[in-house]
Amino acid sequence: MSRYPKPMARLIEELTRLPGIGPKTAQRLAFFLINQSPAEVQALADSIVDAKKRTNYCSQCFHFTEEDPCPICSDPKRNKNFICVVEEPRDVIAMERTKSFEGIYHVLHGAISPLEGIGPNQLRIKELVARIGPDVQEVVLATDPNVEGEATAMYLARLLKPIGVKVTRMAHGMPVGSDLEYVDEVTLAKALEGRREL
Amino acid sequence: MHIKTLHLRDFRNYSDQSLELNPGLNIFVGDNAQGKTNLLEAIYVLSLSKSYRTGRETELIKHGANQTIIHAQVQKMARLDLAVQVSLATSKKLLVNQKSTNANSFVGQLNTVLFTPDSLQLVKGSPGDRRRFLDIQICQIDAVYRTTLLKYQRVVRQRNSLLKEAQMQRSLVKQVPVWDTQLVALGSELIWRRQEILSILEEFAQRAHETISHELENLQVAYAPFFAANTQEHKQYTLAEIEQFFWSELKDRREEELRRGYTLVGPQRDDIIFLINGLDLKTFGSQGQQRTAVLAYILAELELMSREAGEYPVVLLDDVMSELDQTRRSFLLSILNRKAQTIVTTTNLASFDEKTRQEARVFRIESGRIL
Repeated sequence: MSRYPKPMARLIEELTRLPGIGPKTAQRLAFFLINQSPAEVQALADSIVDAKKRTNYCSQCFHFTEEDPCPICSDPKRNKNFICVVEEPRDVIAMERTKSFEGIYHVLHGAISPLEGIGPNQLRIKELVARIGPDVQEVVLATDPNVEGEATAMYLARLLKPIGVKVTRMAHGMPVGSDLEYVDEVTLAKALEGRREL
Repeated sequence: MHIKTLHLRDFRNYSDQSLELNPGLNIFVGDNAQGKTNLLEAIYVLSLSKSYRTGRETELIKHGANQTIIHAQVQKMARLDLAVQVSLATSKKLLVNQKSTNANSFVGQLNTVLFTPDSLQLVKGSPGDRRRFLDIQICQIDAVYRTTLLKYQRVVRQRNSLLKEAQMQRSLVKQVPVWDTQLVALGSELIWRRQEILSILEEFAQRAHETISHELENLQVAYAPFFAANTQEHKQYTLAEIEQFFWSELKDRREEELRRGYTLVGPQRDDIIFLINGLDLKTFGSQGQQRTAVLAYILAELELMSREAGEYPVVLLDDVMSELDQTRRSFLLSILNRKAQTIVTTTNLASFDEKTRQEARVFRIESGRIL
């Protein structure tokens, strides 16, 4: 990095720490930024600081929010007795795009993974249990369909069922709108496994 | 299927090498450490998306270069363009007809069977080697199996990590069952599929073996799941039976698992048993009998892949000719010559008879260059 002036080398180093950014992309971004006008660079820097300052976790569902509780949790039209459990805030965004879920969310901020030292205590699981009042009718587990997501769902099911709440798991299935012949064999096999009677 | 052209760019000790291959037999001759095995490794990477020699893929890049590209034109029913690009800066790219794709759709495009001097140790070697050999074949013909295998291996790693932690922190013990459902479901599926594939392999292997041994000996190849390790009886289990035995074994060995801090049950503890006239070949077989069995098994894999994929795979023989006697050598070549594209490396061209040499395309390799 010594080939660069010190401030620029520092910028490249900071950019390299971002997810998905390697040294080459970091260099490209740094070159781009240096060639921008001071006002444009200032606007970018401000937006980063501002976003960081004004974004917090909702104290109920732990989704990103500016005000607490978040707009979803404070929406009177939402069914507060139907909770969808997801791993990350980006999963809430994905679910919201469907516009078909009327309940509220709970963001765990990860999945159980002993290899990475993440156990139930590192996730927002205690907070989830605290939310399950007598009126809650159903908890749908929408953790990722990978090994860690399945284990997390299993853990939650064993924890929540004894409380007396209905626990469900998202289905695996065929992507809608695609032809059967183009679906990869793994998805197809899973969809066949989860078939339902008509 | 066969490889028409192969192009290596900064791969191991090759800088920039193109070659056209014969649809039949290809012989690469050269002294040791000239790049013969590297060439087979490159083809293997095109087939399985990763090397069998190293887990660190940047080792494939020629010293001093930033990236390596392996590219081949393959003739199947249609022509197929395959490429693998490994670079220091970005993650590995797999391309089918110039389009980037994931490993699950890449593996299975070009099927190969690799045969090295190590393969000859298959009967005598460790159960792990035998399982890996079988897994490599199944993964090429069954993408669902490959996904299940990768998931299962991940579950075992996670579970082992938890069991190890639980040795220090007893409160973690109650989290172990969280992993058991997946362990049993995925593991049972692997056992069931391996058992099924092996029974097909056994049939093909018996036929090949009868030919080599002139019908004097009877070969059996049996799958021995971990829960049946102590029985002499080899039977086919249903998926439900496998799951049932898996659960009960898991329960029985719970205490021992906690004490030792890792997973003690599952298909990672299975084995493949070779029997000659009913006797365990590993213990009672001569070296010659063991080699004949391995040869029959390899030829069976060829037939299996042809049956499942519709075409014979490309056969890679790394320096095995010198390990086989004249009879087995000519038997092997006579079968391969008729059926599959074969790529052989050798230090000594004299291991091939005159007629074979005339039919083959012979390449000479010297310090990373094909002359």
